Amino acid sequence: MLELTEIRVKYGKSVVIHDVSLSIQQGEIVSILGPNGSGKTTLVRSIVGLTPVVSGEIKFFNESIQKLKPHQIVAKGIVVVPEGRGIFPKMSIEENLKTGFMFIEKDKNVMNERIQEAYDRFPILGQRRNQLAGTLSGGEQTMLAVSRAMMRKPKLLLMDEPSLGLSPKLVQQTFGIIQELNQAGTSILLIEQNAVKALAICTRGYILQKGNVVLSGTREQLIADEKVHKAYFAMD
Amino acid sequence: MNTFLQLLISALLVSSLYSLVAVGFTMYVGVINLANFSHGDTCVLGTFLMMPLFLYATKLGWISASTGLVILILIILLIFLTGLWGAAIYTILVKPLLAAPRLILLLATVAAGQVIREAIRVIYPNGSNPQVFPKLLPSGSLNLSGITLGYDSLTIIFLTIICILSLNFIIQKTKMGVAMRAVSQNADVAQMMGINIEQTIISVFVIGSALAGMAGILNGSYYGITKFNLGSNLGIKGFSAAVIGGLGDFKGAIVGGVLLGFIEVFAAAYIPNGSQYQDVFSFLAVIAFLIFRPSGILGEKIFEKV
Ligand SMILES: Nc1ncnc2c1ncn2[C@@H]1O[C@H](COP(=O)(O)OP(=O)(O)OP(=O)(O)O)[C@@H](O)[C@H]1O
Ligand SMILES: [Mg+2]
Repeated sequence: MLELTEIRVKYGKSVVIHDVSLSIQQGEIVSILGPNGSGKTTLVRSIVGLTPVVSGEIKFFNESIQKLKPHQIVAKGIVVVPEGRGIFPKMSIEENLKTGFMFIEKDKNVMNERIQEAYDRFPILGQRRNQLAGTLSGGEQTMLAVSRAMMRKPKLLLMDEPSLGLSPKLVQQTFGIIQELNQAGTSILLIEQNAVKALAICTRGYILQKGNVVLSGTREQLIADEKVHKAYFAMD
Repeated sequence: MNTFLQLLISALLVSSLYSLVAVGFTMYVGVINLANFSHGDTCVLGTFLMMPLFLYATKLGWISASTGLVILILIILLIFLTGLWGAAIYTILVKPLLAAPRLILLLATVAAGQVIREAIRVIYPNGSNPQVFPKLLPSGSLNLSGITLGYDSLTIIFLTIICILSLNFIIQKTKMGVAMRAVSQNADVAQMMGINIEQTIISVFVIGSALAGMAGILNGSYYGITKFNLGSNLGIKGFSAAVIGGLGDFKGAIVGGVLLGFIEVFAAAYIPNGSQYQDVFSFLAVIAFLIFRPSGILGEKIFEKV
C-alpha cells in the first residue's frame, strides 16, 4: 500500500536519506530500526510531505503522493504518532482527540463514538478529559497520542518511537495495543530503537544506518542475522 | 468623585481602542511567531478606505436618509476590504518569506507599513496633511448625575466588546480557531492532523487586518481626524499592550490594552504635566513588564510555542 522508491532527502546540502526503497503491504507491521540520527524521523516526515524528497517516488495505493501537501497526504488515510508524541499541551485532552478527526472527517456522531472508545480503552483520559494535555505524564501522553491516532481508524499508521521514555510495563502495553490495532486491520510502520520488542511483533523490518538501508527482511531473517543479533540481542 | 468616574469612562474608551489593536497584533505572534509591524498602518489604511466610501455614500444621498443602517453597511464593507488587504499581504509578502528566518519577515512588515504610509501620502488628495474623518458614531450624550457619557464612547466600548467576544468564540469554538491554536502549539503536528496550514495563516491575516480596520475607523471617528502616519503610534500602543499581556496571549492583550489605557488617562489627569508625558508612562510600564514579567500579566497563553 505504501511504496518508497529510491527516495533521497536533504537538509540543506547534507543528504540524510540515500536512495532508500521500502514498502508496506496491507496488514503488515513493518519496523524500521536504526541508531540515533540514522534518518528514521526524516523518513516519516518525507512520507507525510513535511520534508520534501529531492528525488525518488512515494506511492500510496499506487498513487504518487510526494508532490502533495501534508494535509492532502494524511487525508488519504495515513495517520502519524509523531516523535515525542506531539500532543497539543495547551489543549484539553478531549480537544486533542478531536484534532485527530475534525480536520479530515465530518461526522460529529462518529467523532463522539470514537472519543468514547478512547475513554473506554484508557479510563484515565476520560476522567481528565477537560484538563490540559500538557499536565499528563509521559505514559499518559502516549495513550493520548495513540488514541488521537485511532480517531480516524487509519489505513496506515506511522509510529515514531512510541515506546521511548516509557516504563517497561507501559512499553508492554503500548506494543500490545499496536498488535491489537494491526489485528483490527491497520497496517503499521513502526519506528523503534527497542529492536527486541519491535522484532517480536513485526512481520518485516528494515535496518537503517546513516540514511541507508543496510539490511532488510522478514522478522525471522532479521532475528537470525548475525549482525542484528550482535547489535541488539547480545545482551539478552 | 465625578471627575474620577468621568476619567474612568475615558480610560475605558482608550482601553478599548488599544485592546482592539493589541488582540490583532498578538494573534500574529501567537500563530506564526511574527510581530507584524504594519498592523498600526493597516488601522490607518482602514480610515483612508472609509473616507471615500463615506463621501460616495453622501453623494448618493444615502447618509441623510437612513444614516445608521448605511453606516453599518459601510463598516461591514470596510471590514471586508481590510480583510482582503490582509489576504493580499499574506500572498504577496508572507507566503514567499514563510520559510525564511522570521526576522526577515518582520522587516518585510516594517517595509509594508512604510508602503502604506507613503502610498496614502502620495495617492490620497492632500494626503500629507491631517484629514477630517467623518463622524460615523452617534453624537450626543447621556447625562447621569453629572457624568457625561458620550454615545460615541459607549458605542466604541460596546463594539469592542462585541469584536473581542466574537474573536474569542472563533478561537475557542470553531474549527478555524482549533486549527490556529494547533498551528501555534506545534505547526508540524498540526499538519499531520490534516490542518491546511496555509489556509490557517491566511485566516489569521484576514482576521487581524479586519480587526485593524475596525480599530482604525473607531479611532478616527472618535477623534474626528486621521493622518497617513498615525499608524506608528497606534501600532506601538497595540504592540505595548500585547507585550504587557505577554506576546501571543489573547486575553493578556486585552488586559494589557486596558491597563495601558488606564495608565495614560490617569497619569494625564493626576500627575502634574502628566498629559505631556503620558507616552512615557506607558512605555515605563512596558519596560517594567519586559523586565519583571516577560511572560505577560496573566502568564497563561492559549497560543503558545512549545
Ligand atoms: N531540521 C533539520 N535540519 C538539519 N539537519 C537535520 C534536521 N533534522 C534532522 N537532521 C539531521 O538528519 C539526520 C537524521 O535525523 P533524524 O531525526 O531523521 O534521525 P532519527 O533516526 O529519527 O534519530 P533519533 O533516533 O534520534 O530520533 C541527523 O543527522 C540529524 O542531525
Ligand atoms: Mg527520530
